[in-house]
Amino acid sequence: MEMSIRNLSFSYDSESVLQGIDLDFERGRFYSILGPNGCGKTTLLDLLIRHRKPAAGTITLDNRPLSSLSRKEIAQTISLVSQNYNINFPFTVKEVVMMGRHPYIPRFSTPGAGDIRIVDQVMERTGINGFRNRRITELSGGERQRCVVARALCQDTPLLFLDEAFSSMDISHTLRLLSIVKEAVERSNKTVVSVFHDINLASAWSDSLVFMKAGRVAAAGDTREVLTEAMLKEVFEVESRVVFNEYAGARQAYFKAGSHG
Amino acid sequence: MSIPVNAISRKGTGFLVLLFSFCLVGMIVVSASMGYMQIGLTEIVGMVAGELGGGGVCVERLDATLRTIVMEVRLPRILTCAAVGGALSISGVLFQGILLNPLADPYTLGVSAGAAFGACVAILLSLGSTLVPVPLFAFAGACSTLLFVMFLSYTGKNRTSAFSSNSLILSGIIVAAILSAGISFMKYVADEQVSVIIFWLMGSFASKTWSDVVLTLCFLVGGLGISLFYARDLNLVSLGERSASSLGVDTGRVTLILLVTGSLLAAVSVSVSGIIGFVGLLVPHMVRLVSGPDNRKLIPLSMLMGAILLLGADTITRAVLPHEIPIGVLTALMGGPVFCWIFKRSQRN
Repeated sequence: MEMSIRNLSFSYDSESVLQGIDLDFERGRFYSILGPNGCGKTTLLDLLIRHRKPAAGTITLDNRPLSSLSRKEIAQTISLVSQNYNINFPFTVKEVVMMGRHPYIPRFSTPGAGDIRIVDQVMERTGINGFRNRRITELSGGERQRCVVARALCQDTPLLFLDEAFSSMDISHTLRLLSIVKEAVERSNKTVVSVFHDINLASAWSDSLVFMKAGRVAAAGDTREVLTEAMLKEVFEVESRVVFNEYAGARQAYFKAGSHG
Repeated sequence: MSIPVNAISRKGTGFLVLLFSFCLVGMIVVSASMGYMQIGLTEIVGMVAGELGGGGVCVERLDATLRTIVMEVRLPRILTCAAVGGALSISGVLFQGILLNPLADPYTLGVSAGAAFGACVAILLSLGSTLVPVPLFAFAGACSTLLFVMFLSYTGKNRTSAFSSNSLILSGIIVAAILSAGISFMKYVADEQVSVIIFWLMGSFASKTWSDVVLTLCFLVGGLGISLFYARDLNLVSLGERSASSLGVDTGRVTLILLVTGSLLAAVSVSVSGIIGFVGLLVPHMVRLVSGPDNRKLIPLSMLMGAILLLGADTITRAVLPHEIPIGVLTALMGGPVFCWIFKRSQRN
């Protein structure tokens, strides 16, 4: 599934948050969005899942306007992993992951055999099967986040959005889940759009990067082309050295300790 | 290998609903037999069966006084009490889910303060020549408070959600504080009649009529239907609005509908019986220990448990204690320590 965004704008009352965003997300590619805090990354994702409505501009999915789709259709097309701070109710891990099947299960129905199979497979792959019956409120931040990623994978959508999904996870689980996501991109031709803070992780895993600054797209394109020292200076206002690292298999940015600006 | 959790727990929930319903019916019969005049259980059952059957042989044989006591005094009180217990409990479940806060209760948004304010105004006006219906004013007070709290916390259509839980809770606290000051002022003005206000505020089911029963039951059935319809959506909303939205829930609509439903349930309860604390807070917590947090199970079970507990408390104050004490005082005295225990226990876990 392809997503096209044209001239997208959004504002809170009189405060403009996003202006004139043009982006294309193609099938079977892994995109990362990078940018300083408050540049509108999360708001952009909110508009793309229609959690908020844009002030102007269009979003289309395979040439169909997003606004013409029902919420259920959107939930069957796009899944989102966001940071979850507000889990106060003791659902079990399995119950939380099963919620990913919500868009497919009619009201007042119980999950079918197919739903249960998908949930079991995803829990196995994401390494959370061991604590499937534990309450989510008892888990650590990283474990919770893995459950939320599993829930989004159960949603089984052609588009997967990740909003700083890995920031509370240790490196081992980050790599494990990134591998699962990457495999979904390559094998099932899914489109992944991930908001990252770690530039090097984004560079190593993504096909394309989108740099955002102050509500606008500063640059978007192939990872090897757009990740440059000049771009990091422009977007983050930091000095860096960007070199190809053979071990990582990607361009990596290095920063000098004790220097800023 | 996997076991479909919902299939099994559905059966378990069904069993618990049956068990709780059975307990509630038993409780209603036992409570109807207790009081200043003890009446046999079989007579109660016969009387009710006779009434339901259009007045048969059983009724004729029974003493007319007993019939009046049961049918016109005790049963309206008992059924109103059970319905209010159920309504407050459902309201508690809804508020806790919407506000993402297990410590929210039906009165968090200031609905009780609004109702109390309305009731005080009515009582003050009644001191003059005209008789003003207190429940009607209480209900109007509760509803207008809800509207005002929603107006205060409305953040505009461009925000993530029209109502954020924090701003709702804060607005509720602010409005309740202002109304409490207003109530204090009216108590001061009421002079010698202050006791009428104070007794109303402490809650009571004394002298309830069949019209109270019908009113509360109508709201309860409507509220239960709406809550069950949106119970699955509420599960998702209670884990965060953004993720609920990405799973296909119209969070704005669901939040608004359930907020109004919960408030109306609380409003009708307060207007009929005064302020009864702790039921809406405590019951969902107790039931969650058994059923887990899934609102599809929590809502019906909490309703039944709330009805049983409040009826139990009212029966104690009406028929067991030497003097009737206000039900709101009793629920707080009994519910408070139990809540402390549950809270401490959950902290330890």
